Amino acid sequence: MRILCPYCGERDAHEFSIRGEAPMTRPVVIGVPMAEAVAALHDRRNPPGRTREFWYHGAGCRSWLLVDRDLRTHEVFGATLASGAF
Amino acid sequence: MSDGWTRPAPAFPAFPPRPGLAVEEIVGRSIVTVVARAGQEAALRAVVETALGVLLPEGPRRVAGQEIAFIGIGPGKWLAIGLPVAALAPLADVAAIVDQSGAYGVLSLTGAGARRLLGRAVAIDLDDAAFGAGSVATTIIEHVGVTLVRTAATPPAYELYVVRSYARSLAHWLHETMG
Ligand SMILES: [Zn+2]
Repeated sequence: MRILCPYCGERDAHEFSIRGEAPMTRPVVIGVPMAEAVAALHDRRNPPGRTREFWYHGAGCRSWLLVDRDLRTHEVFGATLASGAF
Repeated sequence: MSDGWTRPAPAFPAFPPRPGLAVEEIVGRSIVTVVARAGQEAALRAVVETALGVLLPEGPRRVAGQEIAFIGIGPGKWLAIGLPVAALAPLADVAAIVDQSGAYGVLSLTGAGARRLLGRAVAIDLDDAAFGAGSVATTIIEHVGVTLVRTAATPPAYELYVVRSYARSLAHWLHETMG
């Protein structure tokens, strides 16, 4: 699998580490019951099919990315910088 | 030293020359990380242009001025090469400026054999059309993080920046691969 990093260009997946499904909005973890905060931080749906995920390009530009890919086929549709997305 | 900073010791053992390939350590080079403060990238760009006469590269590219070169290593992040950290003081309001001269080992690889050797090292396209002079890639060689810079087209010339504590591991790989 290769990921098209918006800064570095196309790179092998082993330069990246995955953080899991990205929520559409910034999770609220302060001023909510602990169980809700833990769920917002750690629970992931792991849906089959096309999903938006956080990936970290640790061996490249050290940016967090939002990667649009299909969990069934591993096809990568694109990636953007996570910075400023929330 | 008269300019007030201590030059680091060599990081690599010597590399015997091979036909069409010279691998030499570049010792005593000033290396400074420049990281734009939040929301200050445009301001940093303007200060660098005014104070140093260089247009900061937008992506992974190397741009050289008279005395200093900037190497793009990530969004809003550069290595500034050639001037001691004190000379970058005008940038300090809009960027974090940290001397890294002792943190890296730097190799120069020159000659027709350099691209062939690097082709066995990195999983990126090194063809002239994709990685011509001025191109930069931060990537890995045998699990060791490196920043690779194409400094000249003909003869092919590259620079390799590696965190100093990994220099000997990288040297081992180079010795084995150069044959
Ligand atoms: Zn990247």
